[in-house]
Amino acid sequence: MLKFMLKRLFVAIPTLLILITVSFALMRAAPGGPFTSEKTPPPAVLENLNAKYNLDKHIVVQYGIYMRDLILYQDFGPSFKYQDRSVTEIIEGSFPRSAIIGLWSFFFIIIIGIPIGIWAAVKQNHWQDYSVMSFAMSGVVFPNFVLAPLCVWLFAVKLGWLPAGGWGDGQFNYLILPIFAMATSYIAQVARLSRGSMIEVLSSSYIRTARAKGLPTSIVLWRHAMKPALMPVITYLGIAFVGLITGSVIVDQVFQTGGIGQHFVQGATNRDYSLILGVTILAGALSILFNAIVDMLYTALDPRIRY
Amino acid sequence: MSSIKKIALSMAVAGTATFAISAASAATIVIGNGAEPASIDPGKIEGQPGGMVAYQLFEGLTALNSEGEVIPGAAESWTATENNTVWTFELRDGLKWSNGEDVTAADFEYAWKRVVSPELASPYSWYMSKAAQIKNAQEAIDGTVEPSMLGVTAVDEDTLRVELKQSVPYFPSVAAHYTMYPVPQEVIEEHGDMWTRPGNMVSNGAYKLDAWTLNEKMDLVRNTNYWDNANVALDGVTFLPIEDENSELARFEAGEIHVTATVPNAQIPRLKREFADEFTIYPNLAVYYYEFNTEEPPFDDRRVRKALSLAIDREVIVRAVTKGGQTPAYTFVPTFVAGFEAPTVAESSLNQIERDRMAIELLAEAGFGKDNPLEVDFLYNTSEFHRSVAVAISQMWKQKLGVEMNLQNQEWKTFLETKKAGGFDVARAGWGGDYNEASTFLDLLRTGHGNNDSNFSNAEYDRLLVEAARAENANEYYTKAEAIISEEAPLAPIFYYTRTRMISENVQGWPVGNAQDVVYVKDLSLQ
Amino acid sequence: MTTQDQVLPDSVKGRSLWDDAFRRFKANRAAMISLIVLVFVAAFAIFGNYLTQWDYETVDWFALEDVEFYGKPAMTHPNEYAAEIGTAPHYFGTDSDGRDLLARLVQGSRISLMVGLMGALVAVVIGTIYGAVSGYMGGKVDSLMMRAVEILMSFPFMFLVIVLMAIFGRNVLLIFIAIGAVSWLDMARIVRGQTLSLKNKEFVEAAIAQGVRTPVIIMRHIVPNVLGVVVVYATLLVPQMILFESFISFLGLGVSEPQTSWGALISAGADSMRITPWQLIFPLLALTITLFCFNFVGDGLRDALDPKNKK
Repeated sequence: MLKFMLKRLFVAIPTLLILITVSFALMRAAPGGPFTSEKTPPPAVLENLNAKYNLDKHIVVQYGIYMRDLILYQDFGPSFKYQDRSVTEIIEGSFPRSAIIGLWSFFFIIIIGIPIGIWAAVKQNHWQDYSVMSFAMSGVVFPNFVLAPLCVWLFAVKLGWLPAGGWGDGQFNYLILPIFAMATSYIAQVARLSRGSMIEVLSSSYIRTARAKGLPTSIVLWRHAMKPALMPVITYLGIAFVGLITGSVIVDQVFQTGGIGQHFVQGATNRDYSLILGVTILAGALSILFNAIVDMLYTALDPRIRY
Repeated sequence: MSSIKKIALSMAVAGTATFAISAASAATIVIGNGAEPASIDPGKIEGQPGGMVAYQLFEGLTALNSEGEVIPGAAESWTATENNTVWTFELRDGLKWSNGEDVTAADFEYAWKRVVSPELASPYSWYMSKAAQIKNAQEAIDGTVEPSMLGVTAVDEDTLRVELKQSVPYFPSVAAHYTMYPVPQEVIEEHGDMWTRPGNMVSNGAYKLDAWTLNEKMDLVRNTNYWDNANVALDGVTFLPIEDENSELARFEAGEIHVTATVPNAQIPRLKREFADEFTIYPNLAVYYYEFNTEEPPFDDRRVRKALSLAIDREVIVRAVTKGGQTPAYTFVPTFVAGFEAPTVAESSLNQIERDRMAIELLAEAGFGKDNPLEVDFLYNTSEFHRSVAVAISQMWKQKLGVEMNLQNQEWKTFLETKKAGGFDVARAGWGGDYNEASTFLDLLRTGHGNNDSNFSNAEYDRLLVEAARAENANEYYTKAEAIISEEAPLAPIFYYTRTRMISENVQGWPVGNAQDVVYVKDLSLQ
Repeated sequence: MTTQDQVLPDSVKGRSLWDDAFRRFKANRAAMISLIVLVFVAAFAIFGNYLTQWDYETVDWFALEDVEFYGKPAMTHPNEYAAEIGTAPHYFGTDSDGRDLLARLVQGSRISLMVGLMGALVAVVIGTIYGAVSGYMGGKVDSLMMRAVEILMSFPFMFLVIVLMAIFGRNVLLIFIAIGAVSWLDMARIVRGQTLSLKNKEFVEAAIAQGVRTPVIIMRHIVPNVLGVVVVYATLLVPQMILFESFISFLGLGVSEPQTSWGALISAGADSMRITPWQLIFPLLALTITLFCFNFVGDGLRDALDPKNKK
């Protein structure tokens, strides 16, 4: 186990380096820069700005400077857009908030999504199945940019039960709507995936054999069907977890929770090079970490899996 | 499943509470600020969100009243000598920074020299040279002279002397801008870029910074050291950087915000009905226009440009599309700009049927008609608002003139680059004035101006602007220049922007007459 | 965990497998009904413009004056004067710019159905093969292939779109490239996970022992056994891709006015749902119906293709 994690860590470094390099090159290929604005500053002002942020240097030199600061000082550089702030500071401020909303959402996805999916599979083609699947389909088809404003209108404007936005120092009533908006479509997808996977497993011959032998359904389900049925769900949850933390842009925009998701979009539209690189590295690291965890969970679910 | 019950329970409990602005914080006003300011350092601020914060934190030499007229700020009085090229400001007595130190003329001198220093690389440093015309400003920005050579001197503690490159009769109104606010030298030297953080920041306005969370909120509290603190009604301001207009409106309707930054266009008819007292429209010193690529045939033909401009039914656009009380624009400079007299132009004196007839004729003269349709590549930046205007106008052109339109939307910075590179026939544009004077608009069409994306070049026009800068009464030159714009049609003005806000009924004193939207919270109160 | 699941690599058997599958699919009523509805949706996309006298780009100036009232869905034009002079009504109402929503929905479905299907297809084909190869080969190959997926998953996608657009200009084909670039990543991860566990199964080991070549094992033994999960996940991808298209178009690549798509209609409708709800309801309904059908067809396909499901 330890050896596996160490090996992964070792591979993670070149992976991240490639990610940074590709992202760096791609960003610079995009038209416009951090100081492109509607009111074009006079050339002299632009030159001063470029000089201040090293943008006047050759791109390879800029890359070198960035990598040096990153590796030697763990410094992600200053934000181009939020001129008084460093990228480290922006990430430190926004990541914990996204993580809190993401973790809560993740919790509900697991305790709701998987059970209802499996329930639907066991009751395949009964009303339970149809109602769970109708919910799941609605959850998938209602994008959160529709769901979030609807919730705000209902629970905050009409009923006045919950705040319409803000972080409120992380009090739970401020988190309910963001979590709901964040988690619903994931719950739906996990339910759908769990159901499909479980039906698949239940129809396999060894489960049929077990059932034919007269084993009670619950034992068949727990002892034999659960583990293989969870395989694709676990993979998806690994991907979803990263998405929950880094993909919160709609929630950030609708609820002003100050999360990190919006930086992926705004950073790009602002051409805030250092901020984008910072959040990209974070997303990459999370992705690598969770894929490693998922790979470890595979061996727990199916001991015959070797890498 | 018990967790679901818990949530249901906590929701039920929450149902008894209300999240509206509570009575305890009644003395704090909550204002939607549109977006997170890129900076709140007066030297680096660019645009309204930062400006809005700076108006509260700092006080310049002069200020603007609710009608947009100049009134004394930190300076009590001022005098101009030598044909408006030398200005002397006398500061009030007893001005203090929020840390108790004295505000002196030297603080202004330091701040202004800081703005033009290449080291700070202020994105608005051009304001010191182009708008304020301070001596050596351009040279300092270019790096050819030291910033210390800037034409500003603290004669003594209370006297600031400013030397200009040329006569600027409206200098006091220029001096009200946030770029010209004083900043505390000692604090900046101690904290560097970190000086704008809560705890570090020291300011001279009615409020001081208390807390700031990126993309969530910013809290300002009363500065008890402010000279006029006794007359400041509100104890604090909270700015919320809400970019999503619909979310902002929802938070207003939920009672969490007193004043919104704007309102969603589609909701305006409903808001007019349901919130007649809160929905507020006031003029904004900005014009919405379409620019033509004057170097790209056939748009190098003024008849083509003029025809397209004439065929736009601006009344329909403002009434049915933009809906926010905008005024149809027939001249580039907004008609309400101080001292500006608009020339009589064809667009404004005819009715739409006559304009359409004229447009068809002009286009036919240029060789286009329904049999030989004009093809237009139209460029705009992605936004529901711009899309709606573009759709309506493209239909007007198509139905009246048989124009074939290719609409293309682009993400903001790509759009700006494409426009700079001339990759359009017609493009959407907007321009907001930096001060209440016609030159802030007209300058744009000068040959070689950085924002002259139409690449319009007219020797007579350039000459008029040079003359105007020297003249005693510049406005007659502006009128002539505007007549050239109408004749040559390098751009088609469409409407003058308005500011639309939801302002809670208990907010008193919002300066709706100030077209630059300069709002001093110290003058507001809550009932 | 023992299993006798196996697929014989015999070509004759293979064909009868497809026959079986077709027979089983026909027997699935929900799937067949859904398939018929999908045919109607496709017919709507192709011929729907004959349902209204309006085209998708013409502004109805009467409706534009007050979309909230004159742009309502109606059988006769809500503006009395307009109705009098014989202006055609808007059965689904108009969009916020006074254009016929039915005509726009028809036009949008052409784009969106293609985007949804293409996205799902790319995901299924590339994702399945990539994942199966990675999982089956294991070791260094697996590590390399999965690290590549990790890089692609986290890299700033918006810039890819912006750069594509800067280089090639606007082109509908580019949407497919952009969507194709991301849609298969999750699928590859999922398939690879399944493959890891499949490759230890007896029937695979038996095939290896018989000396069956690796590509054949992957295509004949691994892929058919992961198809169940693949189909389920692919149906989940369809609506995501349809909505994703509107984001790409937002950046300037893809569909441009006056053309539209379901994603664009839904996001525009969401902005004004409180005053002109029909602008959200109709496109959302179209997406929902299509998705439900894809879902049942997907389930039917899965049951039909399931190699375990022999009758």
